[in-house]
Amino acid sequence: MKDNQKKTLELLDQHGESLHRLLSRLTRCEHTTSDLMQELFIRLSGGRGFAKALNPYAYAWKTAANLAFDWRRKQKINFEYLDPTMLSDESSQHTLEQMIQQEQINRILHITCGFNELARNVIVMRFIEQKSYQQIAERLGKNPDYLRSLCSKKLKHLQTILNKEISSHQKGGE
Amino acid sequence: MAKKLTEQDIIRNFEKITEFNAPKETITRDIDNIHQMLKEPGAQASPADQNVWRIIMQNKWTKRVSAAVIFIAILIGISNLPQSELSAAELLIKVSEKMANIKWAKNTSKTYLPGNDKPANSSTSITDVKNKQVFLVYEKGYLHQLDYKNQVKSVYRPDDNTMIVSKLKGKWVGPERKVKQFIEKLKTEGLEVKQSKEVIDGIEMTVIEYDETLNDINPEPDKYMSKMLFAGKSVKTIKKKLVINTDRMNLSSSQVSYFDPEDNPIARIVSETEIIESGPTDIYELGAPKDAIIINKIPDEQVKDIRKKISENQGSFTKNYVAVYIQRLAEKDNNRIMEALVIYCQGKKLRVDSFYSGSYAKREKLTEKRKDILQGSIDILRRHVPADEALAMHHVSIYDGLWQHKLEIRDKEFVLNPKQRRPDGDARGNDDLDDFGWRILWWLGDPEHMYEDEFSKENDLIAMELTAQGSSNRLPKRLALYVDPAKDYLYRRYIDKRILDAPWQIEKIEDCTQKHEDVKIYDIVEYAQTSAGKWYPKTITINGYSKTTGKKRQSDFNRKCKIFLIEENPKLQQELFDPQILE
Repeated sequence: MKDNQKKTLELLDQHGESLHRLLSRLTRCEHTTSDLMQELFIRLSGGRGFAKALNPYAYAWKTAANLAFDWRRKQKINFEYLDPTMLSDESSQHTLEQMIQQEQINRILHITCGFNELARNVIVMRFIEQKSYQQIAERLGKNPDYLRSLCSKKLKHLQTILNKEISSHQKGGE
Repeated sequence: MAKKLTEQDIIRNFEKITEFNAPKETITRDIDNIHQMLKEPGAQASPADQNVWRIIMQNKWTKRVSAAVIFIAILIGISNLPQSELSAAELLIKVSEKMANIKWAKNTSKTYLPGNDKPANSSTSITDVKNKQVFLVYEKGYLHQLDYKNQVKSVYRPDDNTMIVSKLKGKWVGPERKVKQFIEKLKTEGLEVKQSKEVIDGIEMTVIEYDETLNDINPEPDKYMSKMLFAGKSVKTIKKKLVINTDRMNLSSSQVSYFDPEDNPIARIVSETEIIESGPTDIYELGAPKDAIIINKIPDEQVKDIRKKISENQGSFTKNYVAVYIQRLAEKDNNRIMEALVIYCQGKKLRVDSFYSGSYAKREKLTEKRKDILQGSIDILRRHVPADEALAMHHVSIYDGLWQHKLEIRDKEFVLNPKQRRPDGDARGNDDLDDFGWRILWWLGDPEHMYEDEFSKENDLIAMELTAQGSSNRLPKRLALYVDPAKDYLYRRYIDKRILDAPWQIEKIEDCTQKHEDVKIYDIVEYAQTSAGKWYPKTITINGYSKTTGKKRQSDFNRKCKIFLIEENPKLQQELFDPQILE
């Protein structure tokens, strides 16, 4: 068995679940997760970067996040209001709330796609994987205070874009 | 999506993403597949789950190639393409185009429950494409008119002969909606599609189907919850089917079936679509009587202005003070304390010491143990609470400008809760002095609108109302707010009602799983002013009741709350806000 193949299999055994979880959270689609997971490991097994990587998990994590965000960027996101005729007889109010939240989540992920790679990854590690700034700093080799400030700025940025969209929807609906 | 999002809302949404987990069996299956693939020499990306349709719709090149194949096929006169998935894509797009050009369509929809051939409910919709209107006829005479041109929704309710006119949300989509949804769903989510032929009433139809599996979003193990609930049950699988009349190139019928995690059917909705020549011009022609009482709920622009003024006044209330809030039972013989708060506010920092009345002997003993942090507040409270009325700690919360810390007595022990990040302010948003006086209505329901009644007229108040429709798992809710512009837009009365037999409910609820009815009316009966002239509530009464639906017995709720502004701009010691003292 070649070294790189062995390294990939070891990664799959040790961190397969965690990478699957990352992909499923970022894509929120089981089919896509399966596809991207397969693509990730094919890339890793054939890639020189992975073969040379000192921290294979960190390398794989970054590749997985890039794959998921690339996929999300290619998706057509329809930010339209929900159609009430569709909901009036087929869904309850609770479902509507759930759908609004799903919509918000998709929009947040879609906007996060547009951030630069570092900001995007810090946001994912901090808010989705719930890592401390110290842990993120160790992984990325950055200063935790810088990451804290970056996160705070990007959160504000997300809020501004989302609220702008909400305002324009409201104006459009009036 | 009317509410603006705070940073906290965004963090909460991220937390929801964290809760999202693929089923264990899916993870194991995917990892096993990759294991096998990696062990085989010359492994390739083999999309085992993909079929032709998925490949076509997910890849821009295959999409272009397939479009070229169709184009060439038409050019050289090949009318019969092989019965492959490719013709399903072509068929759906053609049907969608054809249906986008019709003038009138009628759709009859019936919901069937398992083991019953009779539909549980049915409805008919008539779509007027030219005027962008949809008319809906429900059972028992309920009629809806959805006017997308003017964004107005009219609902006729025969029970009390009322017509509720409100703002219509949503974008117009013509009769091709179902086909378009089908295409979009398959295009964006890459689901499997099956195509077959079926003879219905002697006509050969093309049947296109797909199954969608929803993920478990419940973080608790062994409990399944997906993003969709139907009839109070969590849906695991949705099976969708479109039946297309290939000769006429239109949608003949559609079927949506919902299944629970054990694959038991929950419900099946069957819809039949028909192209018609003409239909009603308005809701009256549909059958609504001319003498129906019109209730106009179109939201007033004024609502927005008032909300802005309320927020501005709340935001400008002094942020440096010490205050006491005492809530007592408003009964002559027993007016014991239900909650007493000592509030220390300094800019963004907030500390609230909360006490019960002393009927809990063990709590009193525990309180003694933390005299180090409580004595100051007890001394302040003693100015307003007689010495024979004991005070027992309930909790101490400290907000340090970012983090919320809380020490409370739970199960006869002191418990220090894990700190919570609150970039937008104190935890509950209801224990700061300004939270007691300024309120804004928010609930997922119909749009908030201006309102007028005897109480608002007599007291020169601005009234606003918001109602939410009940369903099989939620009671109808109404919130009303009477604001006094002469008192810095403090509220004068606030009503929070959740009852089954609600006059604002449009469609009757036969059975609701939520049984707890609750009515509370908050009145500010006495106001006071700060030294800078800013109004705040001095005395608030809370009256109401709660009861179980269908039962006569109700427990009344009568409270009287007093607020004392002890000190303005005090010099507070910083250790008051130091979370270390709670440890």
